[in-house]
Amino acid sequence: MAEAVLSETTPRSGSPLLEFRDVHKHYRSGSEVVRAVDGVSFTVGAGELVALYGPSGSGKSTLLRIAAGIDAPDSGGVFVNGRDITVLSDRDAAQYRMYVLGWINQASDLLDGASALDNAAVKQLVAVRSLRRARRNVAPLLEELGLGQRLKHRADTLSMGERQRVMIARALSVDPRVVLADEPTGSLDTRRSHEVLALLRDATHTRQMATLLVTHDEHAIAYADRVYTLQDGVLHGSGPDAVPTP
Amino acid sequence: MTPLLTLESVSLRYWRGRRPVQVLKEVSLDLEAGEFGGIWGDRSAGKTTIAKIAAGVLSPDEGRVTFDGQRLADAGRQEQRGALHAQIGLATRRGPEMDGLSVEAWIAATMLNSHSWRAALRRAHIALERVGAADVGADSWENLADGERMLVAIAQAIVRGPKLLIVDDPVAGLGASRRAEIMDLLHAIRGAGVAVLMTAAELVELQGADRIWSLADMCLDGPPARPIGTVVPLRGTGGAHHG
Repeated sequence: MAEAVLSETTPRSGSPLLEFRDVHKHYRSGSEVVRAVDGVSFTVGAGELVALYGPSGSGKSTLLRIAAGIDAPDSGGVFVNGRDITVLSDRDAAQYRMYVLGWINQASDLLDGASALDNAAVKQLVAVRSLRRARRNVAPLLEELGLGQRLKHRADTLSMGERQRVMIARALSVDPRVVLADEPTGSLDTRRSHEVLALLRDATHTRQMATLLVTHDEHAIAYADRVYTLQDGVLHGSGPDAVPTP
Repeated sequence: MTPLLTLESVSLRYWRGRRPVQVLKEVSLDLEAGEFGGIWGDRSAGKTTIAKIAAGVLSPDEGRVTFDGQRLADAGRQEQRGALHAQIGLATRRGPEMDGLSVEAWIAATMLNSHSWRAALRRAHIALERVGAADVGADSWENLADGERMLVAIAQAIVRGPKLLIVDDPVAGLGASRRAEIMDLLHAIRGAGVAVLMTAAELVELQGADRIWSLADMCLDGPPARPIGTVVPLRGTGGAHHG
């Protein structure tokens, strides 16, 4: 199954790159059943940035973990290029995260002891097995993201905005088909937030990725092509007209 | 004798919106080479903040952090700073959450400034063997249990052969046998000449430490039920909002 997901990097004509199909995930808390995700269905097409907006505890993180193939839903599926990734083995799911998925969070996953370049190159490195090649491939990406002068700087010496861009470079380094961004602006000031969101939007359009942006930042949703809200595990849609202009 | 690590009157505050939250206020401690030090405090007392400051990955607002006679913040050029920081390993429960990277690759990535990829992978494998976690080297972080994650984090922290290992709350929430395994490992690392600075929410977890500093605002009410070493309050206080 993983091979099928990995091999089909070109989206099928007319089918969405990423599709949530009637996904349910319930937890039991004492005698109470928590409906973390309750019948969620939506799609994200190639070149599309979809924002999932919701308060803390609304089910966003659960949905992301399911989309990353970490947690299995109780029912329903998440389809990438028409293949259900929720039924992959742990090892195949890791391959899916490695080569198909780009993951962006608040940059807390960076290795503080490694340079910006090596932090960005690590996924590429596993793919090409040559440090020189991986660095050569990723350096232009960091330059494109405005970090050309910071390639050799240790991650812990970078500003939060710079760390966030390293995280984006790492995610983009394997040319992912799907990007999941979990509160990527959570630790940034307003100006840096807008810069990072613009980068994400432009990369999504240019690289024809399906990007799902999970956020409770009202500024962030302005960069989305479509916006959904998640409340108590239930998805509420809003059309393109509802998207404010950045 | 010059201490290996010294924190002098370190203070830090975060901003929560427009409201400042004092996390650490004029905290001081020093740790000798090869010593096992413990920092004891509640979940929100500022232990993780101290660990990060001591490791040089977080700068205090005020105060001075000195490692091996050099101020961490004044370590000059990038290369010098990198060399100094390479002598400090920090193990936390954070890892590459959703990247699909094998933990061996993740550990190896910290070695790339001085090693080829193949050599870095070999060093990572050796570090995993040393902590007893070589069997999970090919797994990704998100598939590991909590105890395995801590072992991997320690492997990542010691792979460059540091003089100081800082471990943040390594045994909280783990079963008895895994706790014992990790504590035995930390004492073995200390036995090999590496200074260890460990934080914990439970005093008993610091059994065997040479010195223990309390991050509470107040001194202990009385001696602990079991003799575990000398407990001294840190000069200064921990805040009450961040762990």
